Amino acid sequence: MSASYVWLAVAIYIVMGLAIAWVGRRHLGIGMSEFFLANRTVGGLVSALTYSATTYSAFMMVGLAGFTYQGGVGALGFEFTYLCGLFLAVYFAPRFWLVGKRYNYISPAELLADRYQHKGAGVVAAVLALVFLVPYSAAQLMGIGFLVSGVSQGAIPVMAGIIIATILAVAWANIAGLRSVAWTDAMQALIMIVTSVVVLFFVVYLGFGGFGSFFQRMESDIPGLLTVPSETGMFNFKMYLGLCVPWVFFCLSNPQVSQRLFIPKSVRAMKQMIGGFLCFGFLYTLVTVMWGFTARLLVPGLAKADMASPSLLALAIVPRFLAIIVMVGVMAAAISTIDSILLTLSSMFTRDIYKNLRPEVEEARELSIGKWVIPIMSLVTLIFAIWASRETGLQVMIVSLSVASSAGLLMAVPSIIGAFLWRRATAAGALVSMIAGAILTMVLQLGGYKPWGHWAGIWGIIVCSLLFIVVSLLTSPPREKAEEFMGYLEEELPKHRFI
Amino acid sequence: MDGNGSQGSNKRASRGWLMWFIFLFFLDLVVPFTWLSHVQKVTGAFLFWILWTIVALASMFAIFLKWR
Repeated sequence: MSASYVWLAVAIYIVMGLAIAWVGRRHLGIGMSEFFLANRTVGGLVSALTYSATTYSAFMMVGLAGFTYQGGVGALGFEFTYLCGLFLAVYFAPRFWLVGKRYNYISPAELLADRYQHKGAGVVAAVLALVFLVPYSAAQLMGIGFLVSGVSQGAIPVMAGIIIATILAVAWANIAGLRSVAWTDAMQALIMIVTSVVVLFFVVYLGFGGFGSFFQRMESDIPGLLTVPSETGMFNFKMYLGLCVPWVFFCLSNPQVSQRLFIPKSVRAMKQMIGGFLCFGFLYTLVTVMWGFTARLLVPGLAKADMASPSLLALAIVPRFLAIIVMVGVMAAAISTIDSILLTLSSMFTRDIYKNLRPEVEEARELSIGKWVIPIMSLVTLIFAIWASRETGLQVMIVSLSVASSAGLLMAVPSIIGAFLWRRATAAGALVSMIAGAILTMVLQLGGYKPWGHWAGIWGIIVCSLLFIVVSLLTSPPREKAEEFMGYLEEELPKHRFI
Repeated sequence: MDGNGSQGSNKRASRGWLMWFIFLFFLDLVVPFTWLSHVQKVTGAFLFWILWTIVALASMFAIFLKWR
């Protein structure tokens, strides 16, 4: 495909995104809550679409499709297991939402600091996010790079895609904070879902003659990819468990997602957010995995599995204009995830780290610092992405990178659950469990160690949970705060029929 | 129903749903790796995970559609 058409499509996308972001800016008010949470007034549809676009991004159409290409049906189970982990959001979203409004929390780390009555709990949770979200953001940038390069058949280098995405993510996040991020997400999510479904139909009907023939080809040509473990050896039980456990807790462990639980303007909007996301997730996962299977049948033998989707889009049976729109849609979705992460990290740095060092800082100054954190973190992510994009093999595949990041973030989960459910939970328990769990996970990840074959996240969460319980039992809890916090929830939850 | 009564009923509902989802995740980990591990057909693990997800999503809808 001519590079000039791809550049033109990217240019149109930039103009559209900028226009939407500037409309968002016209509604922008003053203060941290306004910039980072749109003043908790986001409607149901936009909440659902921004939640979807923030969660589903390059790691789906590039990473998960690549995983399917290489490992088969286990990718479907893994991603659907994540989706069903939204049970945790159904349970905890009302709790986040209620206490967020009552105590005016900006970030999930601030919630921990207040609930445990210890600033350190917030600082450690923020540092965990700052460290472990870098590989996840880098995975998004890599996805864009591979996609643009693949669709343009190498005319546009991987690096150009990565750099454009970084600049745009910084711009989207800075123009109007969550308002520009959420509104651009909404547009991008719609493009993602519509174009990916349309392309799947094109590929299945023009490449195979229909879904019946497609399924027959799967059974006759790649039967070894229809079981777990697959014939390639991927998705054995321990690998599956190692991938799924961090992913199940994704909606709690990833602050850019859990921060979304603060933003719906009403109970109705929260219902729409969760329901909309579940429908979106089911359809998008199924479509993505089928992309992976179609790519395996139509373009076998790729050296790098993450090139499955770009190679599929480059096939003659996919109309060129559609391939370009899909490329822009996936690119936009990836950028929307990065800008959400940048926005969340910015809020955590300013509220949970900087404000603890300078408690007297005025809100305007705090916000100004936050806006500077966005480009700095994006630069760190860019450097990581450039390094990772030059590597090959499973270790730096996009999904693996994302899971490694989720494994680290998982270490905050016992403290988050304990904050809502256990009066006896203490700051010391939270601190020790997060720090020890994160160090253990990093050592295992970086050293490539898998004791008894189990992945870092599994060992991390076991050790982290035990430490949280034992240290909490040995130390004194903030009884007054725990009573006030949980008593408020116990009183409010039944009023809205929340479980 | 008084405050304590509704809180008690809420806790029972929470525990019931928690047990149900633990059961679902148990099926997710066991069925494809045992009974379906040699079924090299679309009607094996592929179909199982689709149906399993539909059941899990329907359960979540049953929970949050009651919110007021």
